[in-house]
Amino acid sequence: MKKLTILFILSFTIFSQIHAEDVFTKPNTDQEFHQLNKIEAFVNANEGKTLANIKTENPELVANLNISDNVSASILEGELPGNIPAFWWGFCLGILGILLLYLLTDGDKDAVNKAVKGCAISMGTIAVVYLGLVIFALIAGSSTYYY
Amino acid sequence: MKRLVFLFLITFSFISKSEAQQFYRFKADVSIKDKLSNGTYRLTMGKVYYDKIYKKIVYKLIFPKNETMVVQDTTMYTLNDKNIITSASRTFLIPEFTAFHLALSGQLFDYGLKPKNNEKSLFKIGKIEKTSTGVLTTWIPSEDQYKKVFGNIQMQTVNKRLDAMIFYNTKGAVVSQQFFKKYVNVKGVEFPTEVTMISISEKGEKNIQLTTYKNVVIDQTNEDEIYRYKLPITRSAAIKK
Repeated sequence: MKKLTILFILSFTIFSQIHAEDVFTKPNTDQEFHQLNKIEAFVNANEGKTLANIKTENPELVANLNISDNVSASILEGELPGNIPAFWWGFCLGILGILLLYLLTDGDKDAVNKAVKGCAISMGTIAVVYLGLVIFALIAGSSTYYY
Repeated sequence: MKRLVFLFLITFSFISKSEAQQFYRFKADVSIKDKLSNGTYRLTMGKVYYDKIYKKIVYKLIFPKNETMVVQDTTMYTLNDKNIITSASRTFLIPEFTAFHLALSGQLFDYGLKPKNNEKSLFKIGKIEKTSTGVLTTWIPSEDQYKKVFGNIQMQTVNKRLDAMIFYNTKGAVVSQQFFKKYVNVKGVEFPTEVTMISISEKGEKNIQLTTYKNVVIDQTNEDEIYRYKLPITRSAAIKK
């Protein structure tokens, strides 16, 4: 039984170590971006070629490739630290969160509304918990007997 | 002996000065490749300009089409090749949190997570370990209320350079992996020319993004009109309200 336990602990430790190392190992993306690399090289060699040009003049480069021209999504994807939903700004940071969101979004009504809801729910939760604690204290107090 | 002391003082003051040197402009050729979980690919090529004083990020793109994107004051503007604004969308992209700003400020090694003087930080250091490859720092949310929203962040540094960052959700699952490789040193600014980001959804679907930078220029003195990009008043009919 002891041997089994040691074996289990050992295998778990090794597994954890492999898992931890895997997370920090950069995957090889050459295969993933093989076709995009070809297009990139082509554009570098042929200045001024756009995706529309390639689709009409060199369709073989984009054959069987579902390529999108949504650039803004590409640029913003890597630059959203935390990507915190508006609701949580209000829920976690309260009125300060609403104010911050208002300033950051230049008064985006939709985002601010969500933050207000978050703040209200947060305050409501605190109020309910507080009320619960008060009721509990009162009940506990009234059921205490002194001899 | 006096000479020695004098030499030491001069050397020390020179080192201090060089360490305190502030860089303010970043420019590079950029290529962003995306593979989305739904099988869609994206390729974006062009140049990126950033000025720490103007706080504007300007992308002069050549692919998929000729257009300019300007990020300023939490808004991202897209301009066509005739310099007409074709779209404007709100963004949480804050220049101070971009790799450009952090590299220019010498804060990229900890991704700006370490709070500056008297600043309240969202994260604090939970654990520091030495591994076979480098130093692994685990950042944890600094307050209990933040733990409801943010998970931990693990940061690996190799030779004092940020090498990888792993973002976890509140349940401890990996939501994003970021790798910073192939560093160059331009005028004393360390910058990773290959950044790989893998975003993982709750369902396990992965989006992969590979950003490569070439020809990094620091503190360029010309092309000022691009760094300070003045947005035109003219907007396309499509975005007029």
